[in-house]
Amino acid sequence: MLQMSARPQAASIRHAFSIDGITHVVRARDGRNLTILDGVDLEIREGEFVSIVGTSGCGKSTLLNLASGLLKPSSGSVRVFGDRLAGLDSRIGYMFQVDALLPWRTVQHNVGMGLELAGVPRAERNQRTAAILAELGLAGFEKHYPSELSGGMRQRASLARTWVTNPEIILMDEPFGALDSQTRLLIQDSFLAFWERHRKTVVLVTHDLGEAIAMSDRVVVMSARPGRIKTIIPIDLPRPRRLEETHREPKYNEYWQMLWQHLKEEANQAMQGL
Amino acid sequence: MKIQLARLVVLLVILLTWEVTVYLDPGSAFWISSPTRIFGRFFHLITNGSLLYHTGVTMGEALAGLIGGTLLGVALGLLLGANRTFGQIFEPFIMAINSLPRVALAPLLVMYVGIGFASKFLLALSLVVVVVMLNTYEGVKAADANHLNAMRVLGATRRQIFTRVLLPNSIPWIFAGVRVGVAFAIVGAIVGEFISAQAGIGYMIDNASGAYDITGIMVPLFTLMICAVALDWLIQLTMRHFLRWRPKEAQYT
Repeated sequence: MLQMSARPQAASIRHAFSIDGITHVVRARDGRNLTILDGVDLEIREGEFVSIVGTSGCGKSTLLNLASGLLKPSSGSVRVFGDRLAGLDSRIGYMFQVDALLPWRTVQHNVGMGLELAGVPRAERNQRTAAILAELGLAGFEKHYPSELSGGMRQRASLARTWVTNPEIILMDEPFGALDSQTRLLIQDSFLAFWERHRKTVVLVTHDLGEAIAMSDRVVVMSARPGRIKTIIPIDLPRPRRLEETHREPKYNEYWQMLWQHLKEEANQAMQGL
Repeated sequence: MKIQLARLVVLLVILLTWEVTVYLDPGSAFWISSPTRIFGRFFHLITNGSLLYHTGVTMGEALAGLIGGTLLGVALGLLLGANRTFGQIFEPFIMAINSLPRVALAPLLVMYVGIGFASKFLLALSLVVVVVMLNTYEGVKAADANHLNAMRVLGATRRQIFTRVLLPNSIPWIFAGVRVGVAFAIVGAIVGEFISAQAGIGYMIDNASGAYDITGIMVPLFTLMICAVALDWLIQLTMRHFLRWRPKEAQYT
């Protein structure tokens, strides 16, 4: 599936991430137990781009919170390069739908936060943040405050903050969902190019089927609550991809229809449940 | 500029109406004095040095109470905010103290520490400390959950989250508390002086009211007002420096 990638194909494929039989139950406000995720298994290879799509409330975001170590599953486990995840892990980066930049810090000091927390000296910090900001088209905005940036720029700064510490796995929870549609297309395209240069393991939760197809190696479709994996669709489109070209591929429409059929079934089921 | 001009016009209209009223009915001067009388007395008291002396005494008490109350209030507020259990245990006690009219503590304080500087300082401090503490505490609690999660994901320790998110997040709240505290500190100093004192603005007012000298009451009152406005202006300048990251529109709201 990754024949186009320059990465050498190792004899044994390394799993960056394994989610083994995760079930997550929370207590609802009325005291009943609510099963959010029910027996989710997912293995993700190193350098793979996997998207997760599903109807609202299917537990996609909870799955990412569990995968990041922010939450502990009721049962089941998460493994990172074979090690059982016990809490937050510096090898995992996590980018939220909201940029979560600290408004009182300049872009440079926001982006350099992870390095600062790890005790990286200022000179190296500034040099590394400047490099990644330049790569994401934010050169010259180092000294700006978040309130002086547009939504798209803030989200790129948030991406830079996640990426600059060089995590091996990056979790993204609808990172482009809050942007207007033109900005979203531009950022998706620049993110795709950025990812293809770095090829890190990415797990992306999204509502946007086009985004999932254009970026991913595999798309995971989740069922309505309780969230289970309904199906996994491998996306066999050549890389490097460009958003506009990918949208013109005949296969793109097939994938889109396929995903939409699955989602429609789940959405209908979810609506009947209400 | 337009706003400043409008302010000046409002001020002139008030003063002129006041002056004209007294001019048309000279007997009313006994009750409401008049701008010219007040200005006249003001310059008289400035030149003989007594106004500066008494203002200095009161502002010294108020400022000491404001600074002491702010430092103590911020420290307590951060302590309550940083430790959740601690905060939950002490919250009802704080509310109980807050509901107490602290001005009523004045006689008690005078009995404890005498009629000098200490009783006024402590009264001002007791008024300032609660409002600053509550504001600081609220500021810490109001930290954005997304900011906290982002920090945790980036590997922050509890201490790092405290210094980099909770503390900066509470700064606008602390300033709001201090601005309210300015008026409270002055109230504390004046009330303390009313109870018993040998100097200060409260002492001047008390003396003048004994003599039915309305002008003598008005002069120290206006002096106090000017001092309070100047102090608030200074605090706003400092605040603008600390909060320069805020979008421009928000600064005027």
